[in-house]
Amino acid sequence: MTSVEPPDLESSGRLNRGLRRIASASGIDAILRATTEAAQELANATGLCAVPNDQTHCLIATADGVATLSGNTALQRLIASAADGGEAIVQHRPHLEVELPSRRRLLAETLLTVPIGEESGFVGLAFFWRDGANPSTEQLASLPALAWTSCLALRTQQHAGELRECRAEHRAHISELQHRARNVLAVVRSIIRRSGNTAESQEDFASHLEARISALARTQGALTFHEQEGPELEDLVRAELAANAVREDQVVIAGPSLRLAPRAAEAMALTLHELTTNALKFGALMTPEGRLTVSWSIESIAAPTMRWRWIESNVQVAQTSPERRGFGRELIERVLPYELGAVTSFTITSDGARCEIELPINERTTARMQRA
Amino acid sequence: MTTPRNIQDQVTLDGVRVLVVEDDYFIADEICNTLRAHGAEVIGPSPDVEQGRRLARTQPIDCAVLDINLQGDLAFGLANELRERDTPAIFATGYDDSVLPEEFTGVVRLEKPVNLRALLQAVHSCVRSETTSNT
Repeated sequence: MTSVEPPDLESSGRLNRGLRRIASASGIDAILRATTEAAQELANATGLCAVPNDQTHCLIATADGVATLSGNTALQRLIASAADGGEAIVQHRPHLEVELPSRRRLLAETLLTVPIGEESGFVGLAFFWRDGANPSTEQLASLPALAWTSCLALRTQQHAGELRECRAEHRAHISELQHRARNVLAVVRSIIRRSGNTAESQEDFASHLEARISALARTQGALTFHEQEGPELEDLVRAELAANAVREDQVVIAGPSLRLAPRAAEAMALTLHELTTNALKFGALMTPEGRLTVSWSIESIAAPTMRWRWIESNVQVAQTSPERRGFGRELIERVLPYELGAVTSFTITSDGARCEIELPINERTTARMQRA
Repeated sequence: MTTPRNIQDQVTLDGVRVLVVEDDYFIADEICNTLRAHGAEVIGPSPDVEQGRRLARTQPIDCAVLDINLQGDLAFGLANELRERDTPAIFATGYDDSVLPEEFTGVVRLEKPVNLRALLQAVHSCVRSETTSNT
């Protein structure tokens, strides 16, 4: 507040134009009266000691000079109509010490600004001094300069505040991204280990690993894209089938809209990937005759639950793949129950594979909007 | 000079009871397998703070490995509860130091993906210093 920058003619001009506009509409006396009254109301409301009254002088700085007013009348109507027109009165600080270009310091008890419109900045200032601490003629003469200095200072302060908020938000964002990235890396490391444990050959290992990481990457993409509302379960199902070029006429997908929370989306996408890969290699998607139904419903008998089913049918010879006892099964039988509290089952019937997942609908599993 | 490999092989956590609170199944599984392979008894793992707290209250534990952010719930409350009972805790987290409240600045923090050798070392040394300070 003490450093005096060179005059910002733009701010100063806005200030003066705004004041002139109010003055031409209602007269300078009206501005002074209204400002005084508004200041008093604000001061009373915020418990300030400096209430403009008969012993307090109100000064307003304009481009053309300084007007003085003692006592109070009603400019409240003017202020009210200004507020109706999208203008506002803002009180910035109860005690503002300002340094004049002459290095003299003044104590303003109350400072009012009247910004006009969202972008226009501050256009009005009123200063109040206690009686007995009246400013000198020289100080009064410097009020227009003081007005723009204060305007600039206030705007700087406002910008600095906005910048701080922006930076804090930015930091939180980076921290969250970092957290997510590290978690994804941890999952990738686990996938590598799991793939290594179940793979039969090096080629097998590489192709499984690549496909699993692609599935994970697709989910991360969907999560980033739908950061706020979470990805749709149906989109995850369709994306996985599409990535594996599954023919649409073999598949029926049916279920209500359900947006998943990140963790649930990740786990479901990996599960979908394993189920799809297995169906392509050993199950319903191996031959054109095979059929697959992926359906889900939301039930709330005891607690809100999503009942999800993957049902393969018309499979010629149902086979048990090594993977079905490996990573996919671990996802279904261990990961989903552990991370999401799901109740799951995976069986191979004579007709094909069948997977059922009962997923409790809560803050862990579904996006916020979904539960509202 | 001892190589890291040797350190891992040397560390024995026989009979040490370690509470593991980690919401990611794979990470929890990795941590638990490593601890068990070196003789520790794993309490849990628990995917959330609530269950972790229940385990900590009902079972004797020597040390805890805590993820900081468990699906949105922070583990600091549980860490404080453990500290009041003089049970050392180790944080395993994807966050950096800046999220740690000041009171936990001395607590060992392992970054994810967790280096399992570092984890064993951390559990080993915090249990050992616990034993030393008690005797």
